[in-house]
Amino acid sequence: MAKKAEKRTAGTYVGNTGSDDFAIVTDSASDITKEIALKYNISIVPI
Amino acid sequence: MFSTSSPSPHDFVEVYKRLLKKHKKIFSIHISSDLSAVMKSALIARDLLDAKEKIEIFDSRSGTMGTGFMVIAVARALEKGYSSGKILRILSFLKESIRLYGTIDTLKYLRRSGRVPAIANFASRLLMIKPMLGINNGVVGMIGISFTRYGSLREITRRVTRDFKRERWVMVSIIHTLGFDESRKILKRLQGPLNIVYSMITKCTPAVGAHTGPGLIGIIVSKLDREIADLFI
Repeated sequence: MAKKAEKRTAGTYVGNTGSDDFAIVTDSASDITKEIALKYNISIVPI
Repeated sequence: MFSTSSPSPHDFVEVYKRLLKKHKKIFSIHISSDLSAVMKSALIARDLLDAKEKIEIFDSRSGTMGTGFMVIAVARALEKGYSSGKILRILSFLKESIRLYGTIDTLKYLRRSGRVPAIANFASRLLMIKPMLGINNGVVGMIGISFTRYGSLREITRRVTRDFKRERWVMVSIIHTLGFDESRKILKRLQGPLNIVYSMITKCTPAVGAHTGPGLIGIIVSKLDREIADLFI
């Protein structure tokens, strides 16, 4: 039986800030790791 | 069997609203619109917020670390204080340049999600072949076949070497689902002939793995121009 992946397992909202003026958003299909997201303050929208 | 669902426009509205409280502009970079409805949700959210000037939504025409490379390049460009115009040029260059060469054990999972035709899955099972895949202009397609896993890994490595050995600067990511040791060997093999300025091995997130199943190995590779190479050297 198909089981829908829970969103929280596929990615996390981690970024709050980018540079002072700019922010970056991507989705979890970009395979950006949590470490990279935290390093560069990237927000990941989970799929 | 896992499946995935695209984030809703509401999900994007929440993220965009939160970020726009602190930032003047957002770069929103996503999986190919031919592979997922993510882009559609992002565009609807931007319209709902009436923020076309503030939110730059970019269709990577790729997926997994093809999109990821663009995200990392933008992050590094922002660190260096690049202008919005320069960043958009970098994104366009990478969109045209990034290639994916991959192999998977079975097309079963991709067929279930509608990303390859049923006939391709049928043929690969009947002939017991290992399909090699690529993303061409945002769409997953077969780029070759092999009769063994070893043969398919060797062939994608050979093709990457053939296509990129003359490039001055190259970045590479090996993506995998449960294939770290094979990934490490492939990267080592590419490091000789290619002038790699940035490389990484990435375990695919469930968002990708749910569609490929175990046994995916992919080489995401791009040539770079001097401006982009400088971001990684």
